[in-house]
Amino acid sequence: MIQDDVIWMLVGFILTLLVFSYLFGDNILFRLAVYVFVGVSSGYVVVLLVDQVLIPRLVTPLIQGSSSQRLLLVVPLVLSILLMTKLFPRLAAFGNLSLGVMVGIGAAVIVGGALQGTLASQIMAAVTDFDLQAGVLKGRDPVLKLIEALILLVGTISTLVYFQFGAATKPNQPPRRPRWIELLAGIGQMFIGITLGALFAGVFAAALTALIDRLDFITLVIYDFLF
Amino acid sequence: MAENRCPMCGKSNPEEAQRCVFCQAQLKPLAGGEEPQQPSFSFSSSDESEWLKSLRHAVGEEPSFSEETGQEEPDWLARIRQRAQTERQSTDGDKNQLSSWLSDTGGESSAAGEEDWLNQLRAVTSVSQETTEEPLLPSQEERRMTTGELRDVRDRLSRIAGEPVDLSAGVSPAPQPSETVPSSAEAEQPPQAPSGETSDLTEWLRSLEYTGVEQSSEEAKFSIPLEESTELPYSGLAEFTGESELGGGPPEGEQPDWLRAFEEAPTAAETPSAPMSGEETPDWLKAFEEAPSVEEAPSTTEPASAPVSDEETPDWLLELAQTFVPETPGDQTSPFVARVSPFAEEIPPQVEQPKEVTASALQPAAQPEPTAEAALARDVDLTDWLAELEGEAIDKEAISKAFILEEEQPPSEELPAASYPFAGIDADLLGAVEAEASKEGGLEGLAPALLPDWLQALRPVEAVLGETPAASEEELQVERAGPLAGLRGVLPADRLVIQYRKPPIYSIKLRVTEKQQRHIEALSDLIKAEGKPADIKRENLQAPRRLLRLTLALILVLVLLIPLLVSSPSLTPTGLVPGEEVRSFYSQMSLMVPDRPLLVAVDYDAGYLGEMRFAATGVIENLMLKRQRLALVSTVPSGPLLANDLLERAQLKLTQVEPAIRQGYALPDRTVTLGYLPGGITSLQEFATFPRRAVFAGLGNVAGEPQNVWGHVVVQDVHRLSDFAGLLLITDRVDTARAWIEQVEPALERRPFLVITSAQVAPMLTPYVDSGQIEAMIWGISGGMAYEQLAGVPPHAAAYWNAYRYGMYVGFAFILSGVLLRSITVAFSRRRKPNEA
Repeated sequence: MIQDDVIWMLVGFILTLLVFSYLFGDNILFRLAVYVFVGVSSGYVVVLLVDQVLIPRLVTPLIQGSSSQRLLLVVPLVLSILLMTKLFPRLAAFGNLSLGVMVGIGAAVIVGGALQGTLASQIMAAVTDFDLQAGVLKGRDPVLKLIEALILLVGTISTLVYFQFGAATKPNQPPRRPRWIELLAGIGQMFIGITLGALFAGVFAAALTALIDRLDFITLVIYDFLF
Repeated sequence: MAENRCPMCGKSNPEEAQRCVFCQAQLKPLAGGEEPQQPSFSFSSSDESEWLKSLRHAVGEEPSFSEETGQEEPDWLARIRQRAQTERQSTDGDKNQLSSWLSDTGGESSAAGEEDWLNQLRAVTSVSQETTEEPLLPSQEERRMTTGELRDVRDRLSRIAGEPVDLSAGVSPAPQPSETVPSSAEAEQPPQAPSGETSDLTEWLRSLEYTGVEQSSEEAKFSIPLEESTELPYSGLAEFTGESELGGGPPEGEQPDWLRAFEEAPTAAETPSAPMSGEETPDWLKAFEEAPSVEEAPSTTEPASAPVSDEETPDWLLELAQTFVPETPGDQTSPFVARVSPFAEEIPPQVEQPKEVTASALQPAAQPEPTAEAALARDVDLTDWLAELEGEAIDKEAISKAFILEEEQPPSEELPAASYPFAGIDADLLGAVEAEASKEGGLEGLAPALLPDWLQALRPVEAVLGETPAASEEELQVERAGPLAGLRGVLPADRLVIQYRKPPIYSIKLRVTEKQQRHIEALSDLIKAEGKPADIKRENLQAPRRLLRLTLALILVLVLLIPLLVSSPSLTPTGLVPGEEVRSFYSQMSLMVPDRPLLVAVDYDAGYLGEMRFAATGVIENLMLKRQRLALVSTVPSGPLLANDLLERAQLKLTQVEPAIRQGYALPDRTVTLGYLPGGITSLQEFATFPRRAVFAGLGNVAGEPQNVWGHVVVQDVHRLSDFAGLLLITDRVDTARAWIEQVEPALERRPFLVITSAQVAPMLTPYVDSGQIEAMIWGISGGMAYEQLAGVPPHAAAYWNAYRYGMYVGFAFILSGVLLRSITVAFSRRRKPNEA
C-alpha cells in the first residue's frame, strides 16, 4: 500500500510538472498530460456507467427481475439501442426518438425548476428586501437596508434592460432605443461590469488556491524523497 | 446551226450574224479598221409574227400609200412592198427556210446597203415595238399590251356590233410578248392600202401611238423632228395601214361613234401637237395615251404643215417621234426614241443623234391630269356603247376609271448618270419606259377595292399593320434606275427609314433610396474588407510575451513557496475575521441533529480539489468530531471518489490531533456512499421524490462486491429526503448548485440546505442565500479557514493562508500594473497619431 501511494505520488508529481511545463508554451509534455487526463477520465466514466448504471439498472433486472420489471425495462432498452444509432449517419434518424425523449424531459424539468426554484423565489426575495421591519428584527439598519434594496432593485432592472435590444425603426435613421432605455442600459452595464469583475476575482482566487495546493504537493514530495 | 448568244439580251442568234437580231448589239468584236456592218434584217416567212401573218392574210393585198394619199411613194417603201409581195408568194413553199436576213447577213453588200439598213431598221424597230420585251418595263409592256388589247377589244366590239373586221386598217391581234425574233421581212413589206374604214382604224391607231408628249427645247435633241427626218425607219404600222404620211388621222365625221369614244382625249400638251390636233381619239384609247407632259419640239408641234416630213416618213413614226421627248424635269421620253438609241451609230444623218443621257432623262416627268371634260366625254361615249351591248346600268365612273391610268410622277431630282447602273447602256430605253410610266393619259387608276367589314375583320394583323405604314398606290414611288426601274413600291428603303420611329429611351439607372444606398455601402465595405488582409501588428520586441510570462510566473511561485516553506501549517492565520456567512454556517451545523444522517453531495471536479479541500475539510472534521453520520452522493462521475478522498483526508488530519478519532469514527460504519446519480438534473428530480429508486448501487464494498446501500445502517431508516438531517452541497459550479436548489431543496421540507463552494461561484449563489433557499454558504480557502477557526478544529489552511494572502497581493499588483501600463501606452499612441497626422 505504501508503495502504491509512493507510486501514485510520483505519478502525480510527474503529471504536475508536465502541466507546469505550459509556462514555456504549448509543448508535447503538456499535451501528454492532457491526453492522459482525458483518457483516464473517459475510462473511469465508462467503468462507472457500466458498474453504476447499466448493470444494476438494466442487465440485472432483465436477468433476475420479474416479468413486470422486464416489461418495463424493454422501453429504456429500445430507446438506448435507438440512441446508439446516432453513431451511424445512415441510421442516425432512428435515434431521434430517444433524443427527443431526453430533450423533452430535460426541458420540462429545467423549465419547471427554473420557474419555481429561481424566478419566483428571486422575485419574492427582491420584494422582501423592502420589508424594513424584518430587517429591524434581524438587527439591521432600516435605512441601509432600504438603500441596499434600492440598489438591488435598480441593478436588477437595469441589468435586465441592458439585454433588451428592441428598437423602433424610423425612416432614413438607424434603429435606436429610447433615451430612458439607453440610460438604464448604461447603469445595467455598470452592474454587469462589477459582477464580471467579482467573478474574475473569484476565478483568480480559485486558481491561486489550486496553485498553492500543487506547490505544496511538490514540496511535500520533494521533502519526502529527499528527507 | 450553231448559236451565238447576244451579250446584251442573251438571245440566240445565227452563228454568222454580226449583230444581234433583236437588239442589234455587236456580237463579234470589230477588228482594227473594220467598219461595223449595217444591220441587215430580213424576215423569213417562218419568222413572221403571227399578228403580221394574220394581218397580211386579212389585208390580202399590199398597202399602197401612193394609192391613198396620191403622193409619190419613196423608193425604200416600194422596195419593201415588193419584197413583201415576193415573200408572200414564196411563203407556202418556203416555210422552213432560214430567214433571208440570216443568209443575207454575211454577204449583203449591195449598193443599196444604205437603204437596206434603213428598211431593216424600220422593220426591226417596228417589230421591236411589238416583240421586244426585255428592255421594256412592265409599265410600257402594259401599255403595249394594252394597245394590243385595245385592238382585240376593237375587233370583238366590231364583231358584236356586226361590223366587219377590217384588219387591213392596221388592226392586228396582240403581239406575242415571247416573240423575240424580229421579222424584218414583214417589217419591210409595205402594208396594203387600207380601205376607207381601215383608214379610220389607222387613224385611231395612229392616234393611239401618238403619245402627244411635249418636248422641251432641251429634249428636242432626242426627238426626231418630222421635218428633218426625211428618211425614217420603216414605220410598219403606217405602211400596213397604207398611209405613208404621218399626220392627222381620219377626217372628222368618218370615224364611227364607238370609235370616237376611244379617241384619246387631247391634253393641253397635245393640243399644240399638230399631227393629232385634228383627230378625235377614242375616249377609251385616250386613257392609254401617254401623258403629254413633255412639250413637243417646235418642229414637231406643227400640224401637218410639214409636207416634207409627212411625205417621207410614216405617220406612225412621226407620231412616235413626237411622243419621244428628251429628258428634262417634268418631261418624258418616248419609247420610240429609246429604241432608236441602240442604233445611234447607224441612224441616218437626217435623224438627230440623241445626246448623252442624263439622269433627268431617266426620271419620269410630271403628268398633267386628264381634263374633266375629256373624261366626261369619254364616259358618255363609253357608257353608251356598253349600254347598247349589255343593256344594263353601267357604272360610268367605274368604266371610265377602268380605262384611266392614274399615274402620278413624284418630283424628280437630277442625279448623275453614273449613279444609275444602266445609264450608259439602255438609258434611252429606260428613260422612255419611265416616261411612259409617268405619263398621265386618259386612263385613271383603278379604285381601291372596298372590303366588306366581315372580310376586313378576318384580315391578319400583319396585313392590317402592313397597310398602315404601307404607302398607297399613289404614294408608291417608281424606281427610276436599276433593274427595277419603272416598278412601283419596290425597295422603299427611304420610306422604311421614315416609318421606323426612334425607340424610346428607358433609363437604366436604378432607383435607390437612401436607406438602400447605406445598406449597399455597408455590404460593399464588408465585401471589400473580406478581400483585404488583416493588418498584423508588429510584436513589440522589448517585452516578449514568453519572457514576461515566465517572469510573472516565477515571481508568483516564489511568493507562494516562501510562506509554504517558512510558515508552519499549524499557525493560526492572522487577520482572518470570520464573516457573517461563516457564522451562520457554523450555527446551522451546530443545530443539526446527530441521530439522523446528513446527506452530503460531492459535486466538484478534480481540478478544484485543492480549493474544495481547503474549504470542506474543516467542516467534515467538525462533523466527524460530532459523530455525524454521513451519506454521500454525487451527480459527477468522479464525485464518489472525491467524496471518499475527502473523508479520508479529514480522518487523517483528525488522527494527528486526536488519535482516537479513527476508532471513534470508523468510516465504513459512519459513512456510506450512495453512488452516482446519472442523468444530471433529471436524476435529481427522481432522487428528490424517490431517493431509494434513484440511487442504490453504491461503490461496493472493500472487496468490490456490490452492496445494497440502503440497507446500510446509516440510511436504513431513510425513505425520503426529509428523513435526512440536512443537505450539505459541496460544488464548484453554478449549474449544479442551481439544480440542487431547484429540484431537491423543496423536498427537504425546511431541512437545512448548506453549501460549500468555490470562490468563483460564490457571487452567483449569494442571491439564493439572500432568498433563504440556501441557509448558509462558505466559499474558498478563506471560508474554510474561518470555519476551522470557529469550530476549533486543527487549522489546516493556516499555512496556506499566508501564501494565499501574498499571492493575492501579487496578483493585484500584476493587474494594477498592467492596467496602468496599458493606459499609458494608449495615451501615448493617441498623442502620436495626431502629431503624425
